[in-house]
Amino acid sequence: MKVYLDHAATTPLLPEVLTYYSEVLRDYPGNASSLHYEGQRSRELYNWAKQKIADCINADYDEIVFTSGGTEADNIALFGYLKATKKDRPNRKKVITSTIEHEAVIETVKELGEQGYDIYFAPVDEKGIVDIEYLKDNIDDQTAICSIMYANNEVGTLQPLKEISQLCREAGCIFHTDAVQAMGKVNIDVSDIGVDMLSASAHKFYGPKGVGFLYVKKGTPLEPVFYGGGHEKGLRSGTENVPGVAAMAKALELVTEKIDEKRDLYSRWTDQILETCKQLEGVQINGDPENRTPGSMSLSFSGVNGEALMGMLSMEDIAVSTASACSSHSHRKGGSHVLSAMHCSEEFINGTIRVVTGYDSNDEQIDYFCDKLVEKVNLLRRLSNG
Amino acid sequence: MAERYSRALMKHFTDPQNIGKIENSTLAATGFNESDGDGVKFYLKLEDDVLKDVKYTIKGCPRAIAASSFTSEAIKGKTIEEILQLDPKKIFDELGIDESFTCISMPLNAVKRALKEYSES
Repeated sequence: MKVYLDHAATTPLLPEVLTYYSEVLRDYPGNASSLHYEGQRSRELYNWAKQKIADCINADYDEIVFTSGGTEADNIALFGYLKATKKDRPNRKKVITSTIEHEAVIETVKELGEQGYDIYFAPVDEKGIVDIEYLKDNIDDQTAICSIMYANNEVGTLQPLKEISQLCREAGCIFHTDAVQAMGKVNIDVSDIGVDMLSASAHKFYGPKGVGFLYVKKGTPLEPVFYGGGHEKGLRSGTENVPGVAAMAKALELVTEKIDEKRDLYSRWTDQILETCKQLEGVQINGDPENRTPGSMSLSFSGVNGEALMGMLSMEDIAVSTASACSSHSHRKGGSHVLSAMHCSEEFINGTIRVVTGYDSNDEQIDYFCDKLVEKVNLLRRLSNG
Repeated sequence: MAERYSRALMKHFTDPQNIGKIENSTLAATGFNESDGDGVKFYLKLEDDVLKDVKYTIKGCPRAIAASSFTSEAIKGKTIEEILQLDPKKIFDELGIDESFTCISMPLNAVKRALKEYSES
């Protein structure tokens, strides 16, 4: 039995999405920018996908910019906004983010620091919730943009976005959120949150890899960060990926309909896995137990190396991920920057695995995983205790 | 997994040899990675400068576990002099791991360091 529990890394295409994707690849060969009949058919489908995506997050059609994924969307949002406002708002030099962002934002912000912006990394508490007091102290009339992730990719903690957007609004700065880990797992309403820009990636919600989108609230100044044929209002030049966006729209439509149903199912499995962990001493559950993406678990085991546990589970056809990479290698990063920011001990960081259930999970798989988890943790602890 | 971990490494990782402790060992050898708390402790039983028995306990990544298992087999029955002559490169080659992973050489280095101190004392 294959047990895939790494749905925060990527998700398999839903069968309906795969069928639809294949059909569009076959039946819509035209370039959506061509004016002939094949091009127009592709354009109509492209526009349908854009409207569908907009509907799913309560946005308008022309507020969606298709991209190649989350990283590109984050880069367009941050670089594009600052480029567009550099001359008109020269005093706004502050860029604020958090210590637990995905590298797509952290590395982008570091580059902005190299370019002369004043960059700030807001700390988080032990649950992974960003320090609102820090944001209150630092978001001001010098701030250009604040980017705080919707949900964390390692521990699943959801951030208080409405509160942050209020702070940004009061200070007159732009609020961007990387929603890659939240899209399709929680209901997202951009108007309700009050966010100015939001990034998402299709392969995290059972769509294809290599496609994503950026929501850009009407009136938000944005300039291209790379150039070409002027597609997507010039913000993302490059031939339109019609099959990709159509499949993404189909996937988001399907998962959005099932968010509540899946939340209840995942909650039952999460309870079962956490109950299993109680059989093992020296276990820490990371993140906010009350406020995280459904099905996401970050589990730390004392006396165990996370990579070894992942490897042992993989030998049993169970796929999970680890937050720790072997720090003995000069070119590899050590433990998780997220867990470090959450003040997790080195012992626990080193012994962490991430388990994320998904659409293809079932009761039998979760039972099997629970049995193997206990077996392998005990085995690795025997190796370390003799 | 398949690309990063060789067959030889997986064999030692999933079925590590000589795990345990020796009650009346002649000396112990420890290797420790301060940055993440991983480490290995070898128990060495010597008779007339020959390593008659070896056991170890380990908390580490798959490479460190495999390297400790491989090392334990490579040193068992050898003289101190022979063990001190062992080249860690042999372990890297046998396990198919490039030499930038220090966790592979950590077990042998720990044993050699302890035996050198023992010989000189």
